[in-house]
Amino acid sequence: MKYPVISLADTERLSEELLGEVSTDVMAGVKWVGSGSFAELEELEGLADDIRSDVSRFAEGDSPPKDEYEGRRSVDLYRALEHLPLEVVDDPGFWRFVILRHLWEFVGWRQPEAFASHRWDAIRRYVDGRTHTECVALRMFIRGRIAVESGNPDLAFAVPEATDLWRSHIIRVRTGYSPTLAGGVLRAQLDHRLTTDHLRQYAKKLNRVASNVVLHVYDENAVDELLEELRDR
Amino acid sequence: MSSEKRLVRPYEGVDAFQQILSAAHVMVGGRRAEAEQRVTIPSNSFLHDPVVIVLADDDEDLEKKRRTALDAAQSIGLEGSDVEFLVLASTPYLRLLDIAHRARLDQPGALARTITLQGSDDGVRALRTPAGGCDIELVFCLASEQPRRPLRPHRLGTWLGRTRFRLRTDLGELGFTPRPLTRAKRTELGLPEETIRYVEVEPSALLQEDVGSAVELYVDDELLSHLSLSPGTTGARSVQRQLFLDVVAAIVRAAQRLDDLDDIQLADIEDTVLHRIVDLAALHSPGETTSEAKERREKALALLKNDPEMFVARIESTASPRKDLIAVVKGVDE
Repeated sequence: MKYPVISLADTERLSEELLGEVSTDVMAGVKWVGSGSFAELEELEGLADDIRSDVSRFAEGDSPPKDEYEGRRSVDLYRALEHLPLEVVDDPGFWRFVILRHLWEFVGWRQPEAFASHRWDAIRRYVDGRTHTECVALRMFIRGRIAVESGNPDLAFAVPEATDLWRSHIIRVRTGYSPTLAGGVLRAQLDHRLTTDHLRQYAKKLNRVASNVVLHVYDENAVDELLEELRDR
Repeated sequence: MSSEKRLVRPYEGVDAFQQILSAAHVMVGGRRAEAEQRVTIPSNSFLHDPVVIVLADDDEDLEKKRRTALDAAQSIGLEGSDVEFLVLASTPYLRLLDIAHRARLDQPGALARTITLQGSDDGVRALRTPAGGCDIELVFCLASEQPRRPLRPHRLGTWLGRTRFRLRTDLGELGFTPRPLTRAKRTELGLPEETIRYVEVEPSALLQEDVGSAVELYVDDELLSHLSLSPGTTGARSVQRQLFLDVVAAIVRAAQRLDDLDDIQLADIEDTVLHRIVDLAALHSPGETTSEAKERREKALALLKNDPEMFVARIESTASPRKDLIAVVKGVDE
């Protein structure tokens, strides 16, 4: 399949132009790789239009909690791209395309401090497609997939202020490989919210169990029992 | 001085499971990966060649291993049905994992001489991700909850033996790429004009997988262009190795600034940049078992916390530019 990518060097150049509000032709940096039919991206384009319009409205003051909005749109983004072959979403260049071509305004709204610095060094991690906990479009795709595969897509946005929960305690660690386990962690946090410090200790206990135990064989009931035990310990 | 908390697996009678798995290997397109090895294969081969896990040399060897596993289970009070053999295939970048093979030891065919994995549409997802690569894990684990007894595993899924193979492609080899240290960049970074290299490390990104997000290495633009034009000369090789050691030292210094370094254990840093650095300082020996490898990593992690200079010195022993430096000093290239 032919799909669009942007190189890291072009991403740096285009980002600096976009940050400098210089007239920028992002498509000039796009290359098509692969062979066969072209990737169908109409759904992504429609979603990007909606998000762009939301972000414009948020700028006027009517802004939802950022993490909750990111969570809701994570499911939409996953659904818009799930039909693509894995080779496409596995390519960091594709995520650079998604951000520069479609989600630039959203990423700027989501990471305002980094964008306000106007420095590539500060925004790089959010746009370079390399790190699944940082690159905004990639982390959303993974978050949406985990929530959908857990059986309850609403878990992508149900827990308030869950940026660190998703980043540090789900996607970055082994929990991110198991939608069933991630679903259990999110349900538990929804039912009995732990403070940041308690959550950190609880996540450490879970990571240590995960280093001794193959948690991928756990069904929902076994996950819930384990998580309850760890909370009580 | 911090106290080292070690991951303890105080179970008796499980060594035989580990030995079976440590002897396994994986074949992909004519390339062979031993247990705990990371191998780089062409992306085309990764996408199209089947991955063959070889558990035994022949049928006789297989039967011997099957018997050994059953005897080991029995020796710790378990039936064949209490233990299962799993093959897990995962890709770190997209966080996808499939259980590619799962069978209880009492089931016929639970262990096979070879197990073949395919990355076709209905196959293993991690074999369709050439940039992210694929980790294959072989595991013996408890198939059911067991009564709690001293020195015996009891929790469902507790592994009795485990080994991993890391398959990566040329597309996914994302090391740190030096960036040109130009006059403008020197000004931006506040560096004197004659500075030839500068390393920036983001401590929190050491707990991520991608070294490119954690480390930024700047090298004088003129020097860098000469290194690119003549990478194979003695001088270029010695400079490249020295730059690598500079980056390692910068990472080690940055790690000391992590909030909870004293409390970090191996399980907390799996698949991260920090883990890869710890792995380098572990100075692994060929043919060591998973437990031995783990013990070496534990010791290396303790050194990182308590004796960072020794930690760096150990890594230097693996990448020492000594011979090239001596040649440069003697003027071999002149």
